[in-house]
Amino acid sequence: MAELLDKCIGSKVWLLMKDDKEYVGSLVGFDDYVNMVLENVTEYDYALGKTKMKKLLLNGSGVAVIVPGGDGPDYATFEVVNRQEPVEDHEWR
Amino acid sequence: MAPRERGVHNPAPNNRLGVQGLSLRPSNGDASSSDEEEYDRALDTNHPVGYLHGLRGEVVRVKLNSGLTFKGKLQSVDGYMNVAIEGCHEYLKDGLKGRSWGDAFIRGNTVTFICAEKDVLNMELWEN
Repeated sequence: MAELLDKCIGSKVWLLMKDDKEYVGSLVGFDDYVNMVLENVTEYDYALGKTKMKKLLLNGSGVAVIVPGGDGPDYATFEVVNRQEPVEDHEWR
Repeated sequence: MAPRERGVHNPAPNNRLGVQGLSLRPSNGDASSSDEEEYDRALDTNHPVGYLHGLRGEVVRVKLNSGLTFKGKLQSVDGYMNVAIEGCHEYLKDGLKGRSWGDAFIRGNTVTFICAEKDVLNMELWEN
């Protein structure tokens, strides 16, 4: 599995954390615990705001999802799938 | 290399850099990491271990899982990402300044990230 993450080194990753945070930055290194060193990071903390940092060490224990090449929430497009249209004059039987 | 346990009563032996608890990997003695590799990682600032050790002596920002942030001078680190911080100030979830703690020890399992304060470029709070 580490090979997959190894391919991401040098490219952008989008990290979704277990709690209400997201990180976008380029991956420069990681270890067996998937602790990661990221460069040019943007942190999206839903409780606080957007913070930009040049380099940081992220603890791997909080990471839920890693999206290789992800541009982050600012550029993501969201679409609602399987949305149920409200039923007009529905007859109860 | 013989398996070794780390802890207060049984600390890891000093390696060539004179750093205790250098590696951020399990010390299960499977000999997958040699002293040479460990030495290389300690100097590689792109590896988590090397980066963390390079931060010693700098003013850092440590964010916890709870959203609290601590800022202060990083005194020492270990393999569990436990950190000791000098002149420690607390900032709450919403960025407001909390209490000042002086010297503080932060347990590694509560840490979300560590970065140098000079590397923080800018912060924009969400508009309410």
